[in-house]
Amino acid sequence: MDLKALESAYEKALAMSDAERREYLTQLASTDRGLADEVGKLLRNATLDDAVLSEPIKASAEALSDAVDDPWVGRELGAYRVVRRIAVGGMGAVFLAERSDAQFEQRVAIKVMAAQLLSPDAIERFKTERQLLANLQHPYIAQLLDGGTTEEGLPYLIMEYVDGLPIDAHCDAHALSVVERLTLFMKAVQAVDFAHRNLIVHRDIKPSNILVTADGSPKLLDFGIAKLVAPEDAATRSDLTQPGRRMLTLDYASPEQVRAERVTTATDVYSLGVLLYRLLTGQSPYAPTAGGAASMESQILEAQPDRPSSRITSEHTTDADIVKTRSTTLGRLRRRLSGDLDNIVLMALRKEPERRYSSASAMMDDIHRYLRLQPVIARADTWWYRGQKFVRRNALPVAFGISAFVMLGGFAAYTSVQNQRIAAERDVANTVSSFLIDTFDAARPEVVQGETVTAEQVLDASDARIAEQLADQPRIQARLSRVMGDAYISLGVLDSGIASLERAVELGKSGSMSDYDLAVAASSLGNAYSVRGDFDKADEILAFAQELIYPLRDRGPYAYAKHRVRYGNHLETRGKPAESLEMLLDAAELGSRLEQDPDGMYPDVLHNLGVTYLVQGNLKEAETFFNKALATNHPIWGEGRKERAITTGLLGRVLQQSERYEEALGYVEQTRDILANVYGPDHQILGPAYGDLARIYAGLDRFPEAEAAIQKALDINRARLGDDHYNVAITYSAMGTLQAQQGRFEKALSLAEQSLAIKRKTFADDHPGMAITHSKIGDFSRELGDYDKALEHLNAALRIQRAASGDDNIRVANYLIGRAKVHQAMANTDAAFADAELGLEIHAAQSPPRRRALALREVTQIAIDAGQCDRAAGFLQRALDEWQQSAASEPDWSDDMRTRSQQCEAKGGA
Amino acid sequence: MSDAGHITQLLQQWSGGDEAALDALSPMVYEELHRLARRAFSGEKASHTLQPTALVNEAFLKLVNVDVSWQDRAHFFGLAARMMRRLLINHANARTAKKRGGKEAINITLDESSVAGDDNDLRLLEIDAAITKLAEIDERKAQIVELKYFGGLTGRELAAVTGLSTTTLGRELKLTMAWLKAELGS
Repeated sequence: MDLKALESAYEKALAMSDAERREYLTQLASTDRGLADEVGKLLRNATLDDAVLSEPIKASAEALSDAVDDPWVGRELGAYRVVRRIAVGGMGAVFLAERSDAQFEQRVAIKVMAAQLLSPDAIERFKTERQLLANLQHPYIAQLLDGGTTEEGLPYLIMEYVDGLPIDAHCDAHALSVVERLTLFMKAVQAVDFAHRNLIVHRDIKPSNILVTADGSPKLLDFGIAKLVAPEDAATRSDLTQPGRRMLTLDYASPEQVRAERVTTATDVYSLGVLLYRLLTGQSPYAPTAGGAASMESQILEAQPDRPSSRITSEHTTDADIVKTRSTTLGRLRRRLSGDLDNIVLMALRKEPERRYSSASAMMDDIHRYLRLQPVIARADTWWYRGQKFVRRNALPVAFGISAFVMLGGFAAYTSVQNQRIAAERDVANTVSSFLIDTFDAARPEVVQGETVTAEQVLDASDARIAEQLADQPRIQARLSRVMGDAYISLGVLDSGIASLERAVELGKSGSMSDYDLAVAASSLGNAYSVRGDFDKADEILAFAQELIYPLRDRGPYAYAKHRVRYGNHLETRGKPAESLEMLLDAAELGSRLEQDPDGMYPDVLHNLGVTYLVQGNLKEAETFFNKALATNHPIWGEGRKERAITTGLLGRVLQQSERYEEALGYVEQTRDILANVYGPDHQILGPAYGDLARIYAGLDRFPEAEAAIQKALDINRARLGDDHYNVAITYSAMGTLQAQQGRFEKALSLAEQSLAIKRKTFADDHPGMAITHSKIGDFSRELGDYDKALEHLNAALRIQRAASGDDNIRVANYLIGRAKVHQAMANTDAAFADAELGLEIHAAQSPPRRRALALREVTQIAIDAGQCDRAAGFLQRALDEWQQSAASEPDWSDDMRTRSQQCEAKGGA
Repeated sequence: MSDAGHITQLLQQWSGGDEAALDALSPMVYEELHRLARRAFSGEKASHTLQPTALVNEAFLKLVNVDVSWQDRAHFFGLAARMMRRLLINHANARTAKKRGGKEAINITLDESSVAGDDNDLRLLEIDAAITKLAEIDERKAQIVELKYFGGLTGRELAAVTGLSTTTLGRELKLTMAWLKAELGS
């Protein structure tokens, strides 16, 4: 049958009225009887009712279920009814069951012991042990709820039902890093340790007995159950080792279990060692052999396991997942494991129980020490080892440590000055100091029990304590609030930081701070407001700080200069570049004369001058000042530091705007990597870097990478700053440009308009930041043929930019050429050339040769469009001459433009 | 490598055009659906309306890393729908064969004591034959039906897997349904 013909006839008929359709079918029948019949049949079946299909399929699926016949299903055990079988193992079967009285919904797991395991005294022993297990209540241990004996005399246990993945599968499924694996592992160790303190040994620790629930908590199953069914007398030894009847997984069995010797807490430590070996390397400590259980046993008894790190080679792990599932690389993972982690694992795996860790908690402590970069006991305590550790610890204050070091470090410097000055302040300082020490004590892993503590959580905890415990000590509260506020802001947690600083300033205004301290706090607060986009509040508080600190500038030239920088930055954001520049040049002058500059104020000012020039479009000056800041070699602007990274990134932006994309890419990627390393991959500080990366990639015609980068920028900015922040606006604008570069002008226009709408919420209409968005709206509107709108926006861009930077500015030149294109599109050739010539003049004075060449290329096209072919040829020649000054080879557009120029047909001129 | 990792890799190989990967993959998906069917259906009949959809989804979650590409995901659902169809047909065949007293009856280790009405099995086999016939005329339409009824995919998922727009799909489905119903009615 020809389905195509049928299909089109059917579609046609379907769209007709009843009368038309009858006529159509009659007509069709006269030419093709068969087809008409088929169409008629289809039409009769053209209903949405699909029960004919779906019902049999559903019913057959259910029939599949009827085929299952498990005699246990539906049985009642205690207050529970068996729902289904979950697993069958050597020790018996496990069922999922629900409360049969259905009073409330509770799912449990019921383990029924296999009949062949029962010995005459088993049931007595079972009851005794069950009582012990019932008392084992811990968040990471599946609770034993009840137990009993079936009609057939089989003992069963009713346990909390745990819905989760085995710990090894969980780690791989979530690609947990080594540190995350260790943290999770320690929770399991905590549960084991708890049981040990309750005199219960697990005896069968293995991944399938440690399930991890959806919220990431481990739950240990089957505590002590091995003992219930396998008392350690010699008679059971054969059970342990005989294939098929083995109840304990040999993979995790200790030498003493293989020998059927006394099982102690050290046995669990050994199994934990095997587990950790597997979590870290994905492998068993012993090589799998063809010899089966006997060979495995002899390895457990005799073989020295390889160091875990030595297994991380391509030889051992053909499995590429090993690194992917640990979020790292082979080399990095090997280095990570090598040393302390090797030693920790091997200590747990020692053959002699007495030479292992003395307890689960001892093992846990050692892992804690490893995570805190302190010497571990699993290694000989030599002097060089301590030294090595110390250097690493201080070179790399990562994770929760970072804020501790930053804050305590900053605080130490601060108190040393204070203490010299006023003796009475010492008590305050001491209280503050001990408070801070308590704060970080609270974050010690022992105290928080293996949870990963972020700096933000530490601060949150302290913040609550400041309010509660220090209510009657306003001076201390004020100072701590200030320190906390600065710490929050350095973490990018603006709202909390502002709240702390507001509290500090409020306390300060009511007399709990010196004027000097109050001014410093107010200046910080003003800066934070400005960053958050609360510009009016920032205006007010910065002016307040200025008034307060000016008379005190000799007492604290540093703080004064720093305040000037902040004020200057704010004024720049506010769109007052001249005042900002003045403020910053003043601060730079102060900075260059500072004898001591612990916080790197001088490079900071140089950096900010670079920013101001960048915002004004003065790329040459911006490049100079960024390079100056980097060249101060101040320790804070040292390698790997955030400050250096940001300056480097902005230098990258200058290069990007100068269209030196290859150079720019290196700088910005470097910045992104350093910042992601220090702040985490989603921190707001990375937003601008991704925006720059997007522009650079676009400049290099790498659009997929550009789109990915800009999306990342948008995600970061919106998550941290909200939908109405100007960084979000800038991101939309960049997205627009990216769309335009790919020829999608409608999308581009709508993004640029979205950007403008957001900017209008925070900026005044004549803010310099508005100019670029107007110009984009102008360009995109022109591409879409809406010339009036294009003119309107380009005029606005020009007006704003000229007011901010004067006429001799590259952006003014760009906007002029943009407007020239609109004029030409409207066949207004005179106006087009007026704008174009003026733009070229500015470029000639302000731009590097490459930029000039590109501007000339654009004007060449305008001339071609105007039909002024001689002029076009002239512009093109100039463009290529300019290009030669900046590059050895011809530009990739030269042939294309030459052809266009040659094909130009005079339209009679203007 | 974990099962999910392994299967995901096979899936990617298949998407990349390696038909041998499909050969390795098919029995795994079939077995998993079978296993899930036994597990999910046992004892829960009263409280659940069982749908092949749920099984296919569960198999996906079980077998494949959730972060696979859309393309691989689409391939998986296509395969799972086909395997689901095969699973149900095999069982229907087995039951009808057993009813007829035939000995060829299939590798099913389950107790067959409680078997749903064989009328249903026959109807299912008719549907299967109709879809097979449809595939000979228009493969794409047959695939859509398979995905919808055996894979349980709905509007947007269907669009993602087949790469057709939802409007095209709607039109195709309407015609296909009419055709199948006509075929089954005749």
